[in-house]
Amino acid sequence: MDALEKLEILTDAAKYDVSCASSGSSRGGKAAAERGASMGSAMKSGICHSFSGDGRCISLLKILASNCCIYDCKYCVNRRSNDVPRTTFTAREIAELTVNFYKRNYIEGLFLSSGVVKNPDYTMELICEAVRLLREEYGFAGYIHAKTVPGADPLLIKKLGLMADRISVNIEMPSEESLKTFAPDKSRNSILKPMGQISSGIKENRHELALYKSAPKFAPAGHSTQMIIGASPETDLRIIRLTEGLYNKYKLKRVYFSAYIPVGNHPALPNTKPPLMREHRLYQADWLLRFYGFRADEILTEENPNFNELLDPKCTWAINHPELFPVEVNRADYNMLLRVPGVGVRSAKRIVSARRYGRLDFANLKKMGVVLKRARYFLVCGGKYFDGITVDQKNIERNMLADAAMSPQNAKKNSAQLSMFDEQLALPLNPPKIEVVKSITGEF
Amino acid sequence: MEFFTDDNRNGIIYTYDGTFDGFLCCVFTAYNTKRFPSKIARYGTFTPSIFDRVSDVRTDKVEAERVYEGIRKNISGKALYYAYLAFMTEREGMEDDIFEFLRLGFKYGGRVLNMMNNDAVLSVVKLKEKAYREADKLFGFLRFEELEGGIYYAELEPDNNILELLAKHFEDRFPNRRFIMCDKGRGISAVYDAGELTLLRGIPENLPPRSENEEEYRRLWKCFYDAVEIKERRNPKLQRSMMPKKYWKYIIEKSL
Ligand code: SF4
Repeated sequence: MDALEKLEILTDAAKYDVSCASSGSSRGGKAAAERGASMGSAMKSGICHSFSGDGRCISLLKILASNCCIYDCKYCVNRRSNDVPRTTFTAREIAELTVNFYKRNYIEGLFLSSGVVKNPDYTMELICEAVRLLREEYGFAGYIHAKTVPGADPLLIKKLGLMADRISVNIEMPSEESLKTFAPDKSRNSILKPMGQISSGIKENRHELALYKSAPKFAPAGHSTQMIIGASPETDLRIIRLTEGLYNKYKLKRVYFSAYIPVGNHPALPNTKPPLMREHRLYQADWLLRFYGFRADEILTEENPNFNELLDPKCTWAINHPELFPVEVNRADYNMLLRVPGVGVRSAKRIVSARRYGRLDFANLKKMGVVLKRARYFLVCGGKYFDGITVDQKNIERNMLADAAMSPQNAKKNSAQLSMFDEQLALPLNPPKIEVVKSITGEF
Repeated sequence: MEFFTDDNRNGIIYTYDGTFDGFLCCVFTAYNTKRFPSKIARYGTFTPSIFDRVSDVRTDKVEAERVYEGIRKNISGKALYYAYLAFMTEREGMEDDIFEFLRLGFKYGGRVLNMMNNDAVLSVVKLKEKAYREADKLFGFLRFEELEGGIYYAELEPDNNILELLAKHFEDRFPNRRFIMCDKGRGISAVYDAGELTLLRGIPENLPPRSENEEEYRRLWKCFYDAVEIKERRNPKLQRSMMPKKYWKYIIEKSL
């Protein structure tokens, strides 16, 4: 099998894993070079190098070390019982590809996962060896995200964590029952145990680093996980509660959701289009959990355990809490501003700093990036609604639905990937990452 | 809100050579002569009326340096970075906003960055974001090709004048390497060799041919790019909004 064919198979087999983020590590290239690396750096916010035809960001060389697998997870293309061509990279092949792509600025680094070849330890050793070659032999200081294999020796996880920027274990299914049904070879424990190990490894390491600056770093970009949604019957409420629990308990950097794409063969698996809108709503809710100070039980309730397809979770929440609105822009505290639909992290910060220098009106808000189309129902400036509109609480929902209906493609086109985009926009103003150079334009 | 209590603009127009140093010299002249301009524009971009008084400001490295350090010390490094990046958008009229931003900065210090309801400040912040947004895209979209002799070569045509900023990023990432980056639109190049980064006017000719492996890796990359797409989620519109078509010319997986 030639190199092209191999790469095609092992890319195709890896592409359903959603995470492609290269964020979370910050490593100056010159500093790395002083410690012996030959190339590479990492930017805190990550970099997208390309976008594939599905609109997803390509940041890392996302491949499997092997698509051979001894397990038979029903939702997975690589399951043992599936009849597909199989192949395995050598550690050297993985390292060569990564370095050569990196040098040409095609990628930020490597995202390496694998089917379970022979047994979990054997597979983990292959992954470790590829990462070791890159770090030690090629002096590669770019970003590496590696997946650990459920059931592998904790020592191998430790070894991997000391070389990679991020290591992660997929939670796969939103509940233990579904895991039993669809991934009979994996147990909840075989997933949560390594996740716990990584989480406490990171915590201890942060402590060590605080004491000794030169202590080796363990997964400096933290860990993440992903679950497949739409393959199993859990409600959205159940999924975001699990998500919240994972953030709290394991201090994950990200929880990714992957709309199930029908590649499986179990009678209980749906054979429908991937639920992209649902995935998008979950990411929005995830956003509310991480950056907007919401709790899962505020976003959805037992009576309404699923998202509204037409309205985003923040609007839905605001509509259901008329007692808290309208909010006075010139007085409301930061946390309350954040809860107003149409106000993002950045505009909330701008409002708080700008109003110290004078009263704000709607024209100011607009310039600061507040989306008045949504915010106008919930905000007042100096006691007045936007454009003198009278807001009747009962009508807000109807109006907002009408607005949403006027731009149906809006909702669609923005699905899923928008969450990556939001992330960039929601970050605080970029600090001067690159030291301002003395302008040399005068030397022409 | 009123920030203009001590305004001593007097209808004079400064023209300069279009460089950042040249602009800093306008700031120098304004403070040195205590005559604030009513407009700053690069030579030749604007036709004065017979009522305008125009003063050509000469670019002087030492003066520029003093203003550069003055901004860093008396306002903040961050404000300097904002002014620099906003300048690089080359948007018409940006000089006046940056001048006003710096004037407020010299008066109020680093706090100026919070004065978001001042139009000039907000404009500088937004221009800076515009330039940075493009740089952020090009950190990723820029492609190097490997030439014989281990030189890496990249071409680009950015809307903003961000070649220098981009080159700094790659200098940090590949400190041991030689590379050339060309802004084809502006006809300027950044050359990094032996640890030194230099900006030059012009585009290099007679480059060495591509290295032996170059075609092979391009093919592999294209293969990866095609395989990684999930066909069930095809969404070309989203793709184009994240990676605008104007950049495709230099993105090899889109132009092969
Ligand atoms: S372990 Fe399960 S999910 Fe992982 S590759 Fe094998 S079959 Fe697929």
